Amino acid sequence: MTPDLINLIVCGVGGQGNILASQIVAGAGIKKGLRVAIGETYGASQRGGSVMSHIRFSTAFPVGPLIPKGEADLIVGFEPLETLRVLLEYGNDTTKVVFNPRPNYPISVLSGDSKYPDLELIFTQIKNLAAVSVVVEATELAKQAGNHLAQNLVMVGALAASNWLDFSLELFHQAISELFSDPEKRDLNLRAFNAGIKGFQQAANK
Amino acid sequence: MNPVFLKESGKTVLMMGNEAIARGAIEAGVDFTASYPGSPSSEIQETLAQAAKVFGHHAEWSVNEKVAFEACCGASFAGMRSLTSMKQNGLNVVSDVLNTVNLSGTKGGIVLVVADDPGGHSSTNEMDSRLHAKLAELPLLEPSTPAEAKEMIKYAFELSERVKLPVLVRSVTRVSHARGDVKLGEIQTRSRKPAMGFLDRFIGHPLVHPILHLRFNQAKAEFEKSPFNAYLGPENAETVIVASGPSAAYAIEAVHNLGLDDQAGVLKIGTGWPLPEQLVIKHLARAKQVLVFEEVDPFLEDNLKVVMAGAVFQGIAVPKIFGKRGGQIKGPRGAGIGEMSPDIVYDSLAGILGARRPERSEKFLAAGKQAAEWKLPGREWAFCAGCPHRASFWVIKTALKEDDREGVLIGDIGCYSMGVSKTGYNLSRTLQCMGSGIGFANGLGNLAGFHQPVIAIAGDSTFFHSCLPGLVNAKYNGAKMVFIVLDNSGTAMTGFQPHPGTGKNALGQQVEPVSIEKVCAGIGLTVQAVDPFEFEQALKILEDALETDQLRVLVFRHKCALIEGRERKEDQPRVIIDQEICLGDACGCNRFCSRVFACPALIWDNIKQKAAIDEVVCTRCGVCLKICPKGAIKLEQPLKKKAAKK
Amino acid sequence: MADQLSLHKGPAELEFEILKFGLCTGCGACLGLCPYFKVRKEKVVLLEPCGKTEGRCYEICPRTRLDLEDLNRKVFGKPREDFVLGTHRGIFLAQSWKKSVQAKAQYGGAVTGALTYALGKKIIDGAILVNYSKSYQLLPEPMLARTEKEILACAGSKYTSAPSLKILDDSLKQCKKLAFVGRACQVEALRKRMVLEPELSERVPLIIGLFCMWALDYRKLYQHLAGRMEINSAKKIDIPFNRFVVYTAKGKKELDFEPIKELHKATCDLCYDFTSELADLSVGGTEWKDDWNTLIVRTERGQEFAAKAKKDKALKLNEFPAERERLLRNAALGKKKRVVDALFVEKKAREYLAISDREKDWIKNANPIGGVKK
Repeated sequence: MTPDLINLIVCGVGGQGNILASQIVAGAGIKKGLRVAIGETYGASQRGGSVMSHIRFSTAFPVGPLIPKGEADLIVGFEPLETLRVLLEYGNDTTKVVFNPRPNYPISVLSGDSKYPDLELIFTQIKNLAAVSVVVEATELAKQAGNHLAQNLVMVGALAASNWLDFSLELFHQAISELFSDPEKRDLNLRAFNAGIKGFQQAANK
Repeated sequence: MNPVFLKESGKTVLMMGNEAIARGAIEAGVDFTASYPGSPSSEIQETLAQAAKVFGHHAEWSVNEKVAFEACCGASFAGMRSLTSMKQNGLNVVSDVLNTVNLSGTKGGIVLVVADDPGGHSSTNEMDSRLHAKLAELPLLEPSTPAEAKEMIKYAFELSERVKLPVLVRSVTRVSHARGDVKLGEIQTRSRKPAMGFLDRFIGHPLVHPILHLRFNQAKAEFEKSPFNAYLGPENAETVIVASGPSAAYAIEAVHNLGLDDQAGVLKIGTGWPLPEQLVIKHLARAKQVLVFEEVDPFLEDNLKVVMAGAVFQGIAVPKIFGKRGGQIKGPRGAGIGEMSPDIVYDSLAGILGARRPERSEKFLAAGKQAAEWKLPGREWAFCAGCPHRASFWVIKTALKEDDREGVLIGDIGCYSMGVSKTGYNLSRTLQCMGSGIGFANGLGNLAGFHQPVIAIAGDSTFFHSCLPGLVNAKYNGAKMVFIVLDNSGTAMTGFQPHPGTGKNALGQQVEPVSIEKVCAGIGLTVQAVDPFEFEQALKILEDALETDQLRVLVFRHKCALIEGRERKEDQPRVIIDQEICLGDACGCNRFCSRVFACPALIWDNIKQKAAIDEVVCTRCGVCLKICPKGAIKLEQPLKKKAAKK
Repeated sequence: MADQLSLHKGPAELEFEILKFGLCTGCGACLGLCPYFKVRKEKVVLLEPCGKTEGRCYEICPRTRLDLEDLNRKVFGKPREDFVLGTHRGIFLAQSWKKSVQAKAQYGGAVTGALTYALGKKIIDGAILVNYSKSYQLLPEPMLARTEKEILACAGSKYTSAPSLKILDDSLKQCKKLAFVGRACQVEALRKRMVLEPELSERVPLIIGLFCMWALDYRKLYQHLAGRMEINSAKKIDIPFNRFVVYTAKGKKELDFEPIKELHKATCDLCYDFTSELADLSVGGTEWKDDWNTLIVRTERGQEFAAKAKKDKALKLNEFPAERERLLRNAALGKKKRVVDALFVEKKAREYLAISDREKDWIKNANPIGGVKK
């Protein structure tokens, strides 16, 4: 891995607002003057499939939109099973992870055809593999901020608070404000973002 | 403001590939745009439709890709610049006119953007559209990044006007749905006046085939000097990697990360067809071995081999060419199957050059084994919570069972394509292309000795796209079937684009809707509409229709849950489960709601061993109230009755 | 629940052994139990197996293991003695006192008369009956009758296999005490269910079984009639003394009965029980006087009810002539002999019907004019 390249994966389940989150993080990066490439897997985005955004910040040559296996530096997970899945495939000994522990059950689990692994085992495995792992109760925090669907912004807030990207909060604020012209929506998203900042700080201090 | 519309030339903004393509058209001063949505191309026309209000060009959602392209040809014939965009399947629909308008030629710049979907993230195939360019003898460009896509679009208009041919720009998912930094350019002011002069005649005929060849060769000559082709690496490299599209970026990164910068060069080809022969020979003549990376078919690889075979006559030694034909370059599912990825590039370089990445750590290898034991459940696609298709498939499933004549469901293309999988109770027996369902049903419904009832389905947008000829044929030839239009009020699969039935156009303006019922009635068909959420009613209507053994049309009409979700009021009562009443997995139920009906919002409470609702997922549609055998699923409070109108 | 089950099979076997084999009687017992069974136009199907390896659906189906000896002990507290007409306490000619009932009902209106009486006396507050569908010509549909008017509306025999047990569970939610009127297969299913749920016996204090030689297959019958008459105006079917009559808006239409007989359900050929031997009261025609019914009083509570109804002048009960009883026995025996013959050759029949070897031999060797066991 080249030091002039940061590989970030935002992962979750279709409908969780993955793309919006990656747009905000990338927008902040552009404002910092970095080159950005994002590869997104959707089409299934609204339909319960696994969704992953590869976000790559580079200072040298432009890179392709996909991160090679084992080369993710950071993972923002909206769902524990997806976080583990992505960490196993794309993580390495230095990967840092922040994730929402609320499970979303695949239909094969609901229909009894397969089993969702024990949550505690998932948490333990993520902790074991990641260099740093932080749990942020994003759905709960989003609910408190006004809408449980804003958990994506809570997680973006958590990533911002981690400072793993070394982007100032101001850059994120600008990126969010530019995306939402409707003041009501902008305020909700900023509230959720700020809740994520607090959530990360509390979790990290534990 | 959408950064795509900014006039600040020179500014760098984040853009999706499809937005960059739209921006390229805007910078080129496009006059006319028409498309039919399809992943991964839809955002191109969506952006152009929004931009139409700012820049004044025409933007429409056409009923299908062929009409869209023909409309663009019309604009071109009158000297205007036009652009159409589509997914790979759409190009097949266009194919007929493409292979005649190539002979007749065009006038104003006309660009056909086709966004391929290698790996089929949201498609029924992973066809390589580049072969269409070869078939129609038309020039084709292949962008590798969003930024390059924008520049290529601008160039494509100019080239089209010089060679008087439509120019194809072939994008792929990892360009169209990628995002990247894009530098804004000047926007050309639109100033053309449309006119068809006396000599503006566009006649396709084999007599003018020689003219096509002249024009084709003119494009080829331009491509020899095109800046979209570039070589990166040492002169006289023994190993040359030839790549197109996003594969070029993967190759450059892999060569760099493996420390091969001094040994291997990368020749990026942006002008996919026709190949710049001299450029190819120049770089390959000195190489000992050549690796070709591209998506999906070995198109570039084959064409390179043809060029190098010709070079033999110039006394040039042909290097070893490694690619998909020889199976040296292949993904996990085989050569020429699926997307290209950085990992395939790494693996191929390891296999051919012996350059390897470091192994993963013991900890990760052990965890991988552990996970394999856990069998992490995959996430199969499913209809969204509250999706009317789940209700429709439930009704169809019940009707076919109760009818008890082994009736078959013939599928089509849309969200309801998932009818082939568990979420649609594995009901659909076919999955091909837009409008094919009713076509197949024409055969089955007129087959002597075939006694199984036939149901064909199509969505509202698909109905207008390509079901009408099949429906007229069924009426004319007396095919027996029940044709159900699953009308969810929009082109849901691709992001709710409007269509003739919605009463809105691409710009969001109100237009007179084309009524599905009236169209069917005009054909002389009996048609009946019902809300699939009214299970009993819909079931009876469908079963009665099946028992007529005649051609019947039904419209199952209920808005897409995602549209409805946006309109949902906060005070809509929550759906709850009375766990005291719920039978759970006892005899008489065994998780009928969560296991069989299988809405993603109906989950299982492991502690109480009863059903539960995932409030984050539930849309409060309430359809599951009708499923529970015990009436344990309830609305939290009774719906407030509206005050009687005075 | 499951530990009470004795057959240890479930819906998958029910589908494979019974539904797919054409052995379903259409009684409806499985339909009310769970949402996996569905019925349309008298055809019962399984939407999909529920995944349970054993279930009540298999246990109570009248065409899975039917141990008549065991059920007889449970219902009557004694072994089977009369192998032809089943355990009973008396046979009568019966008739409703009310002329209005007689006019609407079949023959003497004994069933309708008994039900209106039971409702009036608050012995029941609802009855599971069958009425013609409003949507489909000549299709009988289960109905919970809770008023005299509703009972009268359901009067008259229906000759196809209405799945009236489908509404049992729903009806139990609406009523405290129910009467059930149905064919032998339905009575068998209901008694099988009462083995699993003994408290159900109190909730259904009156079970009236109908004499039934076979039920016609509705879907086949409809097709047959549709090709021979203006079916859209058809209102009602009657089969008086071996004639097939359809009442339409325009009047009566009589059709050749012989080909229609062939449209009966195949499963009826396996039925051993012409007179509904497990009911409280069994009722049929007389094949003799068209304003009287045959009434067999079987259980103790059936006897009490009949006595009260007679005393309160709801039902006229007359002595049943001995020569008519011989003919009745003859009809019942004929059906039984066919099934017993099948027991020796057909595995399916052996798997289903369990009767004692003594009974089997007795039926096999009985001469056509049957009689009471010595």
